Amino acid sequence: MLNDKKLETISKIVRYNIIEQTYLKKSGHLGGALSCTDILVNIFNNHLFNNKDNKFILSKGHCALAVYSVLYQAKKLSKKNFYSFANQGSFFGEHPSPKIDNRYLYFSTGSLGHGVSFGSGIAYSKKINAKKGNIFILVSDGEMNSGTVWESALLSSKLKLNNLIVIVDYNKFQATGKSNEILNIKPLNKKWKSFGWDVVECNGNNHNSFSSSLKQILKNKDRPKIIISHTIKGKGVSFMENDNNWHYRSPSKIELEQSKIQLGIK
Amino acid sequence: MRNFFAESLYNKIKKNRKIILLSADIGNRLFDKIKKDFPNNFLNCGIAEPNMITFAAGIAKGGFLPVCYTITNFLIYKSIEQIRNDAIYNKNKIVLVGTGSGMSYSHLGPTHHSLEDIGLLNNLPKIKILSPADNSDLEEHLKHSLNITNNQTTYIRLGKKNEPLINKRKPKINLINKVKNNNSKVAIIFTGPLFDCIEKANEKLEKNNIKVDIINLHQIKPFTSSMINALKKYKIIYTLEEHFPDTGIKGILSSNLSDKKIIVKSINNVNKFISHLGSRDYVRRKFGISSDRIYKIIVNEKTKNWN
Repeated sequence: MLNDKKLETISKIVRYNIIEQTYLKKSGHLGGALSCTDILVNIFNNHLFNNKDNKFILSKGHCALAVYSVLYQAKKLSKKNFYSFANQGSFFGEHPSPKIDNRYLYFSTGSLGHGVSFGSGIAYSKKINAKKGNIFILVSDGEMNSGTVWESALLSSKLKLNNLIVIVDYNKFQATGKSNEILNIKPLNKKWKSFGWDVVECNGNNHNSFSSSLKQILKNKDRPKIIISHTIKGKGVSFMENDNNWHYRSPSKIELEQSKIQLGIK
Repeated sequence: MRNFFAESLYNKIKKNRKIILLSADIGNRLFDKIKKDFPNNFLNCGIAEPNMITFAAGIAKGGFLPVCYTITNFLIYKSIEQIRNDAIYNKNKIVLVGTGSGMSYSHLGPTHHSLEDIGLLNNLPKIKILSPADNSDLEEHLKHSLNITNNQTTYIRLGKKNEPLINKRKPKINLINKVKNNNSKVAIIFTGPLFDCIEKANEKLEKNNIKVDIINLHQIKPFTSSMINALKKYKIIYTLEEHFPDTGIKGILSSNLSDKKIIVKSINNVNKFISHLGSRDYVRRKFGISSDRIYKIIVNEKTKNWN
């Protein structure tokens, strides 16, 4: 298990590599990739790389770059593959391809609202096979608009899938504006509780807060679990934070340099 | 057909506990035997078809063999993206079994008719579409679907109940099934449980010394080269299906035989929802399916086009 300080250092490197790729490839979805960076760094380094029984599903597929960046930093993805991001002919797209065939990326998403249903299927197979391990699923708050998420919330609860851990990257924005103005999902905590899930809330951009919430919720043994992780869209770079334009735009050379300074990358 | 399906699947689960039947709250009492003897192999997912399909993709990834069963239009229309992305694109094998296909639920109206499912699924790459005319087809289709090893998702389009047995010999996957061979240059090709309707028309045609071949298109996709070779001798093909013809077997035959100088015509020519309620025969008639109509069209056309 890496300590919080080490995780924070890794988060900065992972963030910079994400920003550099969006600069090089002029690709989008930067804001959401930065909001979920700490969650991914935490889950991958402390719960996936060291435990083959655990599985991960990226339901917010548009932030695949953040996963590539975490894998690249941990040397689980080659430099060649990471730098092929969004290139012609590459399978490392803005959404992951099933052709990647990596232990950590084996389910291609892109259309929202699929990850929890798929992950609950894997969790159910583990249960009936009496296999160990948890299924971690990263979803966006925008995904909470999708009916399938709630269909799955019902079924997972009925099946008591206590090996299912959904993590919401609750950055309060979606593609075209503030989540609660587009389709109000509040009160998210009460909604999930009423569906029969164990719920905790944490600061998803703070490793200490996230780790202790995860530790706490893993103690419960009866129900599926959800961690509502409050995050900041564009986290880590002052002029990107809470500015939803970064859902679509990519940085200029100057903005890339400014990001590098702010993240303390040498 | 659905009772036979339940019985046959029971026997298959008995031999292979990896098979898990998922239903979207349909089949009241139909699966009682499976539920009783193999409770871990049945799961009612509720009236939430898209979740059922993606959940099934997940259990396929987890090493199981999911069979998803509900009324065809809910199974396919509500879940087309899940079938496309999570089963086919992500290579998670599911056996999709749609019940009450075509106009089986005649009295329940157009929300329960499936007249577009073949067209929708035929659009998707790599899926296998099987359309049994009777229980002997169904047995072969189910066996084949469960045994496929290349992660291919299959769709089996079931009728409802009491379909007469038409196959004298076992149907073969990847081939057409000639139910009546008169060495004719003219064929009636049908899919699904429609043979009884054609048989009546054929009796009258034979009395008038008009000979046609009758072919059961029990496999619709892939449309194999063996199937094309078996059909290329015909001059005229009449199609009959409980499906809109342009995207159904009429359209599929036309496109696959387009360079063979074969005229392909649909007997059922109605392209609108049938809102009138009634028996299956009544609603079929409204849709352009009846033995009278088959007979009349062929008799009229013979004098005009056959020579």
